[in-house]
Amino acid sequence: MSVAALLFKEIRFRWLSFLLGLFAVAAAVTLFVALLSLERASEDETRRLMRDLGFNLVIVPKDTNMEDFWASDYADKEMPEEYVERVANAKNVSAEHYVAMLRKRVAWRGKQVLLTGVLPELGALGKKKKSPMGFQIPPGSAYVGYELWRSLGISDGDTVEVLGKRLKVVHCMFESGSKDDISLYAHLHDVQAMLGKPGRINTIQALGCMCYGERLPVLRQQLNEALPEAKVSEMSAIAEARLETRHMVAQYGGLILLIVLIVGTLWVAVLSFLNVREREQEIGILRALGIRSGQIASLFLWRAVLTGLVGAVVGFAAGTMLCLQLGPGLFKITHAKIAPLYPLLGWSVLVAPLVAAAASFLPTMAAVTQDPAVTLVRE
Amino acid sequence: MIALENVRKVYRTKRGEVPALDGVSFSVAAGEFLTVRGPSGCGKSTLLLTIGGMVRPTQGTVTVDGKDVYALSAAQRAAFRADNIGFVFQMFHLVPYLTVLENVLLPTAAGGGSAGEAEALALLERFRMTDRAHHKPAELSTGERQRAALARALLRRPGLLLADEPTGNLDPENAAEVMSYFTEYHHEGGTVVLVTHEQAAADHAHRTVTIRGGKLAQ
Repeated sequence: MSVAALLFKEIRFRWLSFLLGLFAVAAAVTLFVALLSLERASEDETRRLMRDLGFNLVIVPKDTNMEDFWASDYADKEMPEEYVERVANAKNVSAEHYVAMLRKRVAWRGKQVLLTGVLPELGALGKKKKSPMGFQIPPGSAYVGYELWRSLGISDGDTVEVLGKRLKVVHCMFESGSKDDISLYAHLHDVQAMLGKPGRINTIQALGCMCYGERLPVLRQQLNEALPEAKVSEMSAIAEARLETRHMVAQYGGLILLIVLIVGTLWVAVLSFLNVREREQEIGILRALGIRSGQIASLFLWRAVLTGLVGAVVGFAAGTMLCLQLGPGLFKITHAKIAPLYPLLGWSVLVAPLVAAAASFLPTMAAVTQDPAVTLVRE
Repeated sequence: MIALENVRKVYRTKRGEVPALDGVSFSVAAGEFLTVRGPSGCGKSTLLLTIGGMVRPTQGTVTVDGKDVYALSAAQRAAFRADNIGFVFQMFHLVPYLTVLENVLLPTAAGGGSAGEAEALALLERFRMTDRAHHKPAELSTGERQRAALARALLRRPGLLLADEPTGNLDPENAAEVMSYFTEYHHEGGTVVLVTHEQAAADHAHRTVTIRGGKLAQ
């Protein structure tokens, strides 16, 4: 008769008690896995939604008058187009999604139009390539703002002539309630040709780091080192909104996980105490038969480890299924990216048995130190 | 075989100190059959567990088979108990999730010793329990449970058998049968210390000592 045989026979006999422990661990792991998986999905969704708010950084020539910039929505000074590559390839600038732009207000078919040329986005050097945030307009094409196409009767597929260049309208934009409604977007090189400014841009838009603290001074210093001919400004409302959203998700997720961990641990501890109490006389007789305290302790600790191990696997499966079920309803944009987070299985299998064993530690100590004079002679 | 020297055991409770044994000294020769009698709560069970290395005395020494039991480490004491002492209790204390055969084999979990399934089955046959070998304790009568407990106590052929009211829950017929097994063990050279209330059980012994208020009365 081995201690392992005793362990499995006891579990088979008190299967309900084992199942209750298993349920506690599995419930905790389910919530842990579901919350983390949903939080990951939420991060993706938030990142995507926040990204859709637009770029939060503008890099303009150093001598740009910012009063004029904010008044007219573009810089009155220009800089070489190659600057966008320089800043994107700089090692220590905490930003990404760089878009070179040339924007001017022009008169077109009796309207004041913000003619905007954009170059395809450049990612930051050394960072994983990400899907573009803004427009990717092929040469010879145009995106037309809501007020323009509505008032001028322009439709998708039309060809329009702008400052002597013919462009095919590939997208009539939705109403945005912003200056996009009076904008006409085209490829940067087309706009440079229209305005007679080849190789020139007046703005680089980018997405800055979402971190607390002195973001802007740090970024200015980084940019000053990488591109001393330019300066940076932040659209802080957008940045703060992004930051607060991410922070809130992380904070509440962490709090719920902490509560789940505490409740799960207490539950396992209580069940362990009940198991020890139920088995007082058995423990007494095992000691009387010469079975060592360490062997008796191992009966309880291995039981807890098994509970944690099986609970972790069951919990991971349940949590993942929960996330896959709930995810598409909650995250309409990024639901296709929701997938099992297998590293969580490793963590669950590692941590749950440890926590279960820790929760059973005191009951186990109570088991091996109990007085046999009390338990063995009790009628 | 057994020597107790001025053994004192005090339990510390919330209501203060409760003396269970108070300066008990006596010895038991190898092969002797001793009964310990006395009123409830007089310290008989504590005495038995103290001899068995289960309850450390507050004061005094307990020597079994030439070894100062409480000078041994906990692990050594457990091994000593496994090799030399068999316990039988009034409440049988069979492990409910094991069959009778598995209960009898339980002492092998301590490791050491050579007893195995063949010895266990032989003991069950001796105690008329062969047909109950694969039954759980809940399926046994009280007499069968005590016989199974006795078989478990004897599996490793201990030199000393400590029994605490082994017939306390049995009808006279079963009690007589169980006592006959104790006598058999004693005749085979085993030493028995038996705590009992019952005169019929005490009649099997060579000698009876009485405990009153934690002290040896006779």
